[in-house]
Amino acid sequence: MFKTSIQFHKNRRGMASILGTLIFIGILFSAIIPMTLVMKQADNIYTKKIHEREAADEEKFDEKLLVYAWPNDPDNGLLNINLRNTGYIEIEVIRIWVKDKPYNMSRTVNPSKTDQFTLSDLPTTNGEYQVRVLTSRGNMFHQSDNSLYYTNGVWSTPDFGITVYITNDQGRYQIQVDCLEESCPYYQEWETGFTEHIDVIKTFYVDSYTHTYRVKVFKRFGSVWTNIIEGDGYIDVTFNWPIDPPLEYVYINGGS
Amino acid sequence: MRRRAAVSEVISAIVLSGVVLAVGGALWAYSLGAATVISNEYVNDTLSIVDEVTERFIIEKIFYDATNSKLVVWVYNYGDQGITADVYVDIVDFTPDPSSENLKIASGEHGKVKFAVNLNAGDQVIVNIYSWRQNNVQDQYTIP
Repeated sequence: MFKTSIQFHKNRRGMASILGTLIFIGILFSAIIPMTLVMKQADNIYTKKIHEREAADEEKFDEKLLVYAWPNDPDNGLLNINLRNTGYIEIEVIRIWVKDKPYNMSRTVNPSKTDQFTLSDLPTTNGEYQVRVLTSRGNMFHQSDNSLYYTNGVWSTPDFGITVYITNDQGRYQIQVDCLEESCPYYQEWETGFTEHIDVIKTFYVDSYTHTYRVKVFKRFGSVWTNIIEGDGYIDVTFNWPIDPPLEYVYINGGS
Repeated sequence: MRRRAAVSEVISAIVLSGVVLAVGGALWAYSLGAATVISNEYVNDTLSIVDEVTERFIIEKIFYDATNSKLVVWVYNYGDQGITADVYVDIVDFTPDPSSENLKIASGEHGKVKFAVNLNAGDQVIVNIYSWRQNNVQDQYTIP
């Protein structure tokens, strides 16, 4: 009798244990594990979105665009815009501001390429005109050359100049610009005051766009200035105004 | 005696199983609900943090329309989600400042607000934009 009774007690607890275990497993698989998976998925989305945004921010930082603006003709009310992408990623221009007036557009400028077009229907109030370019990544680029002026129906052209752009890791540089023709007594010399660790950019404004100018760039090795332009040792610059911008660019590889 | 004992043991086993099923079912239902609520809250909080961290906008342009006496502020939203923001204008050495304006801009779109205010050449303006996700952008402008 006593033995039989103990056996029945064991069986009852066994049934309850099995049911309890099944319920526990059910809760585990229907609630806990799905909840963990959903949370894990949310974490993955978070990581992915943050990574995408960081990449987009880096791309924004890498955008480099030079903006030139000059009148197509002093009297016709048209404005030439020249966009030069000096970076290594393509840039989508979505809006151009001429003074306080926006011009919506969608133009893509590929790396190391130039895009040039004409704006019409310009504002016609006297004063200074700044041109600003907005990209899809949220960068705002300002006009690289001087401001434009509009006075009583006539546009004033910006100054003409030669911008020397030296890509540089480390170095001290001297730049010489002189006019090749006897009729233009022009000579400018400029050097970095100390060793530069960033790209060197210097603009030389010239008196006239009808002449040819010669650019020489020297780099200091020890106490010796060495010409670093390959080939002839110089680059001649002519202006193709007003088809090309009033600023001509000369790119030099400064080496390491 | 033996027959009664067997019946009561079967009944007690059924009752015990029923109790286990009832308590377990209630616990199961509660667990499901709690897990759903917790995971939903976690996902919503995570996504709202993502939106906050990835929100991007700039003050595209500020200018003064002297003809209509309006200060115009253009904003560009280059983030992945729409923004709602309050635009505040602080005119340096000028009291009172105009009331703030609300602005909603979809992703990749431009938006503008206008403030009715009389300004003179040389007046300085500080524009602050506070998004509802706690991000802030500031710019300054001097009336030409």
